[in-house]
Parts: sequence; C-alpha cells; structure tokens
Amino acid sequence: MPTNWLPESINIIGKQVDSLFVLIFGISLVAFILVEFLLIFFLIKYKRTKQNQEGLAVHGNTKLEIIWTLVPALILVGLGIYSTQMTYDIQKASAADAYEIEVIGRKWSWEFKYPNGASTINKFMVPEGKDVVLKVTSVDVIHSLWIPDARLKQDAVPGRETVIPLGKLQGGKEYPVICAEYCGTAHTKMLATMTVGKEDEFNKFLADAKKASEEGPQAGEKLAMQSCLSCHSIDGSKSAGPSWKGLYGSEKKLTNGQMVKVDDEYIKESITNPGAKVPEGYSPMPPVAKFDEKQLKSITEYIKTLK
Amino acid sequence: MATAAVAGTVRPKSFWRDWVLTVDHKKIGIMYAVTGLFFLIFGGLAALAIRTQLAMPGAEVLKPDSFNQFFTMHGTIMIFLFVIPMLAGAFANYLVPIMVGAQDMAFPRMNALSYWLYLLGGIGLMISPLLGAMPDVGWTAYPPYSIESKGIGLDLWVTGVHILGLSSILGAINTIVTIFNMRAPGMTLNRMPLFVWAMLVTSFIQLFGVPALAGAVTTLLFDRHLGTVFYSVAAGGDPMLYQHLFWFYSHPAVYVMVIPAMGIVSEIIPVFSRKPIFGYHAIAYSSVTIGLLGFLVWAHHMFVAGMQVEAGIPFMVTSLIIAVPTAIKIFNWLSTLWKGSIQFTTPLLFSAFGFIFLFAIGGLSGLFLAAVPIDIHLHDTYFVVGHFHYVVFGGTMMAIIAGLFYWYPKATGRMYNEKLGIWTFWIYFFGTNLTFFPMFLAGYLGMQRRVYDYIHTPEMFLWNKLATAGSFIIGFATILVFYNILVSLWKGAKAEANPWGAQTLEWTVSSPPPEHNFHEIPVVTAYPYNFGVSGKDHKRFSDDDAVRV
Repeated sequence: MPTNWLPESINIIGKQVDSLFVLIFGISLVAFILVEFLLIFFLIKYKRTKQNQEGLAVHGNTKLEIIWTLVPALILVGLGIYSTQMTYDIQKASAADAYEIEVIGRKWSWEFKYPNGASTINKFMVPEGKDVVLKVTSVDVIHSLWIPDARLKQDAVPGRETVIPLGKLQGGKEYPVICAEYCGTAHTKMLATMTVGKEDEFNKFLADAKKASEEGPQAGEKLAMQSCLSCHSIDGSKSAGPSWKGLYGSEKKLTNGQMVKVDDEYIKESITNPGAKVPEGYSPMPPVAKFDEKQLKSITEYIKTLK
Repeated sequence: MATAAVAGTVRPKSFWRDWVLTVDHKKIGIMYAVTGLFFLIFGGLAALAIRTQLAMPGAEVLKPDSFNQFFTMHGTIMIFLFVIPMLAGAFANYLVPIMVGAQDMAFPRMNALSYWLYLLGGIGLMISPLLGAMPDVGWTAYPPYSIESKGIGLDLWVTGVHILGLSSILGAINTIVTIFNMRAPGMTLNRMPLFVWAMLVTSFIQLFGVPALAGAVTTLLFDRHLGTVFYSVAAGGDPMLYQHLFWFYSHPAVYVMVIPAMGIVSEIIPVFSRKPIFGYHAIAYSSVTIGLLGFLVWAHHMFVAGMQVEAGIPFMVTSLIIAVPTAIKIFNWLSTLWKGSIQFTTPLLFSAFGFIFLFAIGGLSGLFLAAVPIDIHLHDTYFVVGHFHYVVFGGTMMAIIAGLFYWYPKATGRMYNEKLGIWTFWIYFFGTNLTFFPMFLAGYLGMQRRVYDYIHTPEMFLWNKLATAGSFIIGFATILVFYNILVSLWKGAKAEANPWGAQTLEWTVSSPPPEHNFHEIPVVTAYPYNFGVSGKDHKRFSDDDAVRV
C-alpha cells in the first residue's frame, strides 16, 4: 500500500515503520467499517416498531463464535510475526562501522558529542549517506529523544546507554528533535534540531564545533552546566547564587557594604577566590572545579551573552 | 441521588445514622457515586484548563508549572477518584449483592470502611491545591523526577494513592467473597448476570495488582525521605524498576476501568433489544481471559524505556492477542442487536452507539501501539493520548453514563428525563470525536505529550483548536447529565419496580429496593436474559436452558 500520504521519512527504518503503519491502518479500517456498519445497520433496521415488539430468541451459535475468534486471532498472529521481523531489523540496524554521536539529555537541553571531541548544544548535524548511531543517556531525570521524521525514539535514562540506529540519512531541511518524556518545568522547550550535511559541509561543521567547544561562550555554557547552574540561574529567578541574567556590567553591593562593578576581573576573582567579595544576601560560594585561563574566559564570555 | 433514595420510603433515622453510619450496600454504593461525581467536576475542570492553554499556545493561560500540575491532577483524579471508584465502588456495591440475590455484601462493615478510606484518600489527594503544592509529576510519577520534585504535594499524592489502594483491596475481597458465598439458591456461576462476572474478574485484578502499585509508591516515598536508593542510579538503584512495578498494576488497571464497563453494556443491550445476550459464556469467559492476559502486557508501556528493543516482542504478542477476547465481545453485542426489537433509550444509545462505536476506535488504535516498531515512533505522543481517551472516555465513560441512567429509576425511585438524555448523548458523541480524533493526527505528525506549547510544529494549531472546542462541548454535555440527575430527583415521574422489563434480580423488588433487598430470598431457575419470542410464554426465571441455533 502507498505510504506517500504520510509525512516523508528520512531514513529506511522510517519508511518501514510507515509501511507497517499503513498495513495495520488497512486492517483496522476494514474492521472499523465492518463493526460500525453492522452497528448502525442493525440499530436502524431492527428499531422497535409496532410490528417488531420482541427480538428473536437466539442464544448463540457455536460455529459462528469459533469463526470470529479464529479469524482475528490469525490476523493478529500474522501481524505479530511481521512486526517481530521488523523489530529485529531495527535492533540489528546499527552497523559495526556506524558513525557514533553521543547524546546527553539534561534539564532542559540536549548535548551532542562527536568522536573528534567537539560538542554542540540543541543543534546537531549528521553526515549524509553514512550509517549513524546515537548513544543516548541522561545526567538527571528521564528524557526521551524523538526524531519524528526518522520515526525513532529512545528514552535517555540516567546510568544507562540507549541506542538509536538512525541508519543512512537523506534530507535537506532542519528536523525537529524533541523530548518526549515528561521531565519538569521546561519539558516543552527541550527542543533541538538536526540537519543532514554533505561531506564537506559536515567536516566544516565539525571543525567549527570543535573550536567552539574549546573556547568562547558555547564552551562556557557547557562548563557552566557542569559546575555552576545548579546554584546560578540564567533566567533571573532566585537561587543559591546571584542569577547570571543581566549580571555582566551591573553594580553589586557586597556583604562589607562596598559596591563593585561586575566585569571580567570580578568574575575571575569570584570563581578562583569565592570568599573575597561576596555579594550582599548570599553566603560565600563553595569551591568549584579548577578552571584554566581559557575556561575562565569562556565562562565570562557566556555570562556576557545573558543580557 | 442521595436524598431521593430516602424520599421514597419512610425512615425515622437521623441523617447521621441513616447515611454516615450505614452499612447498607446500596447506600454505600450511592455514596460512592455521589462522591465520584463530585470529584469528576474537578477532574473535568482541570481538563478544560489544559485544553484552553493548548488552544492558545504562547498566551500563558496557565504558567508552565501550573500546566504540569493541572495535567497531573487531571489524570490522578479521573483514574483514582472517579473511574475506578465509580465502577468498582458505586456500581459494584449497589448491584453485585442484589444481582446475586443476597441481602448485603459479605462484610458490610468492611464495605463501609472501604468507602470512608476512599473519601480519606480522595481528600488527601485534593488537599494539595489548597496548600498551594500540587504534585507536578504526571499520574505515573516516574523517578528520578518524582524524587527530585519538591514540596508536600507529591507526598500527599503517594499517601492518597496508598489509602485508595487499601480501599480497593478491601472492596475487592468483599466483592469476591460475596459472589462466591452469598448467591441465592439456584444462582449458579453460569446464571450470574454478566455484570457480576465482570466484577468478579475486576476484583481479582485489584487484589493481585494493587500491591505492586503500593510497593512502587512506598519505595518512592522512602527514596524521598528516608535516604533509600531504590531508584537512585548514583547509588546503584534503577529507575526502571519503578516503571515495571507501576505498570504491573496500572496496565491491568485499564481493565479495571473497562471490564465493568463491558459488564454494564452487556446488561443493557439485551434488555433494550428484547433478545437473549448472544453467546453468554463467550462474553463471561472473555472477561476472564482479558483479566489474565492483562497481567502479561505491562511492558508495552516501556518499549522505548531503555530495554533492549527485542525484549518488547513477548509483550507485543500478548498485547496483540488481548484484542481477540475484546473482539469476541464486540461481535457478541452486535449479534445481540441483530434481529432485535431495539428501543432507543438513553442507556441503549450510550451503550451501543456510545460504547461500541467509540471503543472500537480506541481498541483498533491500540493495535498500532502494541506493535513495537510503530510504538517506537508513537510512544509518549498525542496518538497515545487519543487512544486511551477513546478507550476510557469514549468507552468507559459512556458505559458509566449508560449505567447511571439505566439504574437511576431503581436507585432513586424516579424516572430521568428521556428526551434530555438522548440529546445529551448526541452532544457527547459529537464532542468526544471532535476532541480526541485530532489527537491521532497531531501525534503521528510530531506532537509529544504533556506539553503546554508546540512551538516546533505550528501546523498542530488547527488540530488543537478543534480538540479544545470538542472538550468544551463535552463539558456542556456533562452539565446536562448533572442537571438531568438532579432535577429528576424532584420532577421525575415515579418509577415502577421494573420500568425496562429486565430480568435480573434487582428489578424484582421495589424502586428503590427495601433495606435488605428481598423480603424472601429468591430461588433462581434460569439465566437472566430469556427475552424474545420463544421466551414470551415463560415466566421470568422459569426453567429454560439456553436455546442454541
């Protein structure tokens, strides 16, 4: 049966899933029409009238009942065998030489890590025409990575690695990547996009991503997620430490009554020597991981982007 | 409902003695019904709030956190405080003893305790909005999120679920013992009304399933407050254990919501078709089959939870097979309508056109989700939301309303307004399809569950607007049901003992029935669906074995 009335899928598994969908849809449609037709037909035809005051005293028909038990059972067995075959295909679909991308879910963003050490947040690219496998995990609660256009999803479970065999991909658009497992306040906004890149395009993307992962605001964001954002919010909301939103360039009153302007120097000092200048209303920050100069700069760059 | 049961008879007792201290199964049944319908109002309002937000994404009708709390409360109230207590509490309590010819439940005081525990658990769940700390974890409360979730709301939720579970277990034991030990002379198992069969199976499900749920939520509470690590990965726990325990109960719980509804439909269709039910044994035994298979399908909720994909195959097979006993029932009901003399009353419309029509859609859409490869795509999407609302709203809710109207004259001694009832049905039918059908489309196209916005897919706007419009139509129809029930208490015509000409035992006594049901315990000599031409000459319950053609 044709599947072209469904939105186009961008990989082979997606096309298989669509064909199974259409098969079950066909079977259901026949069953649906049969049941609803008989229902409506009987209700109208045997409506109570003056002539039709009593129903026929039939208690059952063993032969008929055996038939309508066996027929659906056989259809379902067939369906079960076909779906089982496809399930094994999906399980086997991750080829040995597949290109692996690690995916980490956290409240509320997706991080994608590439074999060359580069990593990106909420945006990723896969090489066109190569077997691609996603290895998914989570650092906090259960999330679920869903790519509707590939008809694939797996939960991101803390302490467990799940596998999404994307297979070979084709397509020239940005595809939504969605969190499908409820994970709290911003579950709705936990979205990413996937693009499929031609070889040179993909290589350029990887190089850029690697550079951005090492320095600059993106690297800073990642470091912040690992070390800072459990106590500092980035949306202005109250937390254990001052919010980073609009922090850079603002004036802060310290516990000793002095005023200080938040600049590169102050941020660096606050991270490396947390007890020195504590803003009023907060207790000194507990010691965090040691950062090198480049990392401190990246974090500052990131704070600068949070206007 | 409550007052009318009193209105028909002269009782010198005070309200306190008459209702609060009562151990009469009929009064307890009515108390369950009134309480359940009261909770339905809150569950329904929460649904309308959610749908309003979804019709206006970006408008912040509800703040994100409030939205999460509202869908949690909606799911929890509807399942734990409305549907299950309505069927296993209200209908079972009122009907099972009188249908088997007993004077009361086997343990009347324990029966009263079940009700009061239900009320207590309900208050526990409903008190969190008043404290400003509604749980926000979804009705499934998966850890680790539910362990991190702050506030007393979730603790009240766990405690409430626990107390409700205790209430269910006591109710289940009572029902099972009543059915096995209290049947009137001649009421063999194969002469029991099909609703009683349904409640027997349902009670066994509750008895075996609820402890798993209790284990799941208790360990959750321990992890939250006592420092245990059942679900903490860092300390060697596994969050998937919770999902196994939770679904080991909560999938069979779906059948707790559906099998009694099927029982109600099986009572109503023969009466208004003036025909014996077609294939009595098949309908009874298919309930048993569904009950057994229901415990073997739980992991179909976990196909993408991190199990190996092929570990889902056995569960796919059982999930597909469970469609067979369901299909048998549908064919049997259709055959019962065949060559009947069908009277279009409100209960008949809700059963035949409501339950059968809509449940067929719900059941067939389940086939897609049973198949592992498609479920990988559709799990946790609006397709699932559409599927279970067709089953639980289109199916169970229709049967509950059918049952409310069907037994209304018996319980209250008054007739309801038939014309209004029929209008109500058609409004429901339209509203249900308008609300839930678009969800199938939205789900396949990429809309996930439990979101207050769908920014990634603006093309969902139309489907969501239609669904929201439908939900308000459903809300309106529900107001009509309440109106009909309340106004008919005063304005309804007096009901005779057997206004429908039915043959089950509850219709042999006055409406409402006397305190101990039967002045003399009846002797049963035949099964209760001997309608039709050849049955004309027979007296009710006269000796007549099943005629088979």
